[in-house]
Amino acid sequence: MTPPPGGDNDWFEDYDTDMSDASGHPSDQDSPYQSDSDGSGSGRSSSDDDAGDDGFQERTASEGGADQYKRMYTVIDRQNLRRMQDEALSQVQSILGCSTTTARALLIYFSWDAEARSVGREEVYKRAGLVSQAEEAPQSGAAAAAADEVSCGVCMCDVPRQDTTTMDCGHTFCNDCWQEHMRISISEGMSRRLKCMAGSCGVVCNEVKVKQLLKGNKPLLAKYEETLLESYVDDNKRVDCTCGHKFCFACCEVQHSPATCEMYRDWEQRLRDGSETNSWLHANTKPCPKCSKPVEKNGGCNLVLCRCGQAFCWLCGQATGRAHTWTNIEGHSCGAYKEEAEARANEAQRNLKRYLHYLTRYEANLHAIKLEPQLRKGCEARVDRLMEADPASMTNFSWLSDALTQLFLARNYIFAFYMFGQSMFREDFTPQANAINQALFEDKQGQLEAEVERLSQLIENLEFQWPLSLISDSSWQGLPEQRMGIINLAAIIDMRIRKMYEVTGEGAGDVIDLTAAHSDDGRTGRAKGKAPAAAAGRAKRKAGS
Amino acid sequence: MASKRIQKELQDLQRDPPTSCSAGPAGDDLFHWQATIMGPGDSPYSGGVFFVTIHFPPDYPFKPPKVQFQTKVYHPNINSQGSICLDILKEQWSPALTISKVLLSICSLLTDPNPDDPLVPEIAHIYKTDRSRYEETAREWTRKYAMG
Repeated sequence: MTPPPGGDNDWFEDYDTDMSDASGHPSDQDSPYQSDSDGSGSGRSSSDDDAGDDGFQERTASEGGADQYKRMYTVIDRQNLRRMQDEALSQVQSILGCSTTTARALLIYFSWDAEARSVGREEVYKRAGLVSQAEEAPQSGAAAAAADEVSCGVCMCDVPRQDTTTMDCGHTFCNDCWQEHMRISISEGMSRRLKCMAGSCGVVCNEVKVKQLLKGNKPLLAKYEETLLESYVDDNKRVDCTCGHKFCFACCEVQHSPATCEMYRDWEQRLRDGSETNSWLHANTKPCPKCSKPVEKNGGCNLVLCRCGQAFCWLCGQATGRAHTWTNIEGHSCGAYKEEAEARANEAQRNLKRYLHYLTRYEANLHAIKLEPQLRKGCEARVDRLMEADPASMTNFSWLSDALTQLFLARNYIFAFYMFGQSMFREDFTPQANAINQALFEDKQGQLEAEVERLSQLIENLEFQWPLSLISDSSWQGLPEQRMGIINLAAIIDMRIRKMYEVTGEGAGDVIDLTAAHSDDGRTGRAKGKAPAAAAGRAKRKAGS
Repeated sequence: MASKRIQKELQDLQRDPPTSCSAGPAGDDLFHWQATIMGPGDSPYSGGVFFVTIHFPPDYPFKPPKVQFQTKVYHPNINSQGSICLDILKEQWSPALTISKVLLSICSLLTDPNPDDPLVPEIAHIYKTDRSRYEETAREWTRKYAMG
């Protein structure tokens, strides 16, 4: 399931509103429970799976009317994907009053992030490789006034005007050349930034014209369209599948929010150090600072261009401009010399200590996660047996499955928070700001951990104090105290996770502004201004290195 | 497509040769050229003649040609294998560019190195911190490898 098209943070905002009924319902990210949240609670009934089995329906409204909470995600199929994409497109179109092509190019450039595209229009257009409408009109007019025969600058032949195509930027080439150019670019995976052929033009080809040109080549056209569609998927963040598998859409690894893909990758790499693939990747690729995918340098100099269109410096991994004149890379200089190397060595030591600290905790939590399926099985078996004994009383136990879901969810979040904690320290913050961040973060983390442990304990105790003979007695009313305790604790944990998110921010790692979230504490030392996740293109190289 | 276009470029080069460079097929193979570049007068490479090989890929001009120095050059953006760090030979390549434009770009790279995006960081460092030493070494290499 993906967040709604509005932007990276939307899913989390939804999560917030869900909390209005903090009655102990966990968020429903865990799908066995999710699929029958109409009250039966056991997660095991199969009769109502129909809606969920095809998986690709939005199951939101159709199920249990009383149950409007917790629909953070929906699984989407191709049609829905197209529909969502079109919605995002028409939204941008209506704001900027531009064509679909323009809107798509903008959205692709900004990784479908709604906020980023609201910066100054001319600048946005330029960066995304678009011609603004003001420039568009006169140029195409000028081109139309030209002669009947056109000299194509690529094949260097004179061709009749009707066999040529002029892109929005005003550059005209013959259709054969355009087609060949598109064939090569698309088969190399550059559909998203299919550029004009003219030197240093960089304007993205008009979608309509591309489709027109590719009409004769169905497979290629299909690939082009697919890639356009996929760009929406690739660039969105986090996903739960109907099968219950959770993963991050950006990097396809397990869900790791709020830790960024980079933090996660860094963490995993440390854990699995020595594995062959990783060492190869480590030795031969660098992660793109924008899309985080590993990039292999295929030759030439140190300005490397990722498929996603981001240019970066191969030496330092920092994002750079593409403008790459004789005298410099736009806005970039990395003299990889001694002072920096020394500073890096010191930093490496600090990082190692910090890493070991978090690793110990991470491993303890990992151990707990491994044990918890047993706990779940035990509880479920009991609920199942009870259901067999007395189907009518089933609803009484939804609180338990909810609490269990919350527990597993929280464990997973704690994971991610460790990764996050490991990488939250930033070179460009003052030591004070880092210290305040750390203190706040660890405080929150500590509270969350303690409560998760307590919940785990309560549920476990419940199992001991909950003999089967008792439950199968239909007059048995449950254990009110434990029950309330568990419900409350689950709600508190839910809230804590939300608080952690407020503190860390989704897709954080760019700038963590803990102090801002807690200005009521009267603390000062506010870290540098909060940057939206949209600034994903910005280098986060320091984090966790 | 590729061979037709290469033919055309060759004709253009012969009809209207650029002042500081020349290029043409090295043998019978149209896709394998040899070019020479005269060291620009306002650079420490002045007076040198630099040999360059050009390989055209089969999908030229939609893919950039591979250009390599055969003559040793002391330059922040040209390494000991003769590889050149030049944007138009990589991601900034455009099918509308030609060999003659590429060669001219290489000439300007010789005059104005780009130490901020070095292929040879050591040379870039010297270029940035001790310009006269850089020029001296570049002149020496030119004398040694690119003359006579």
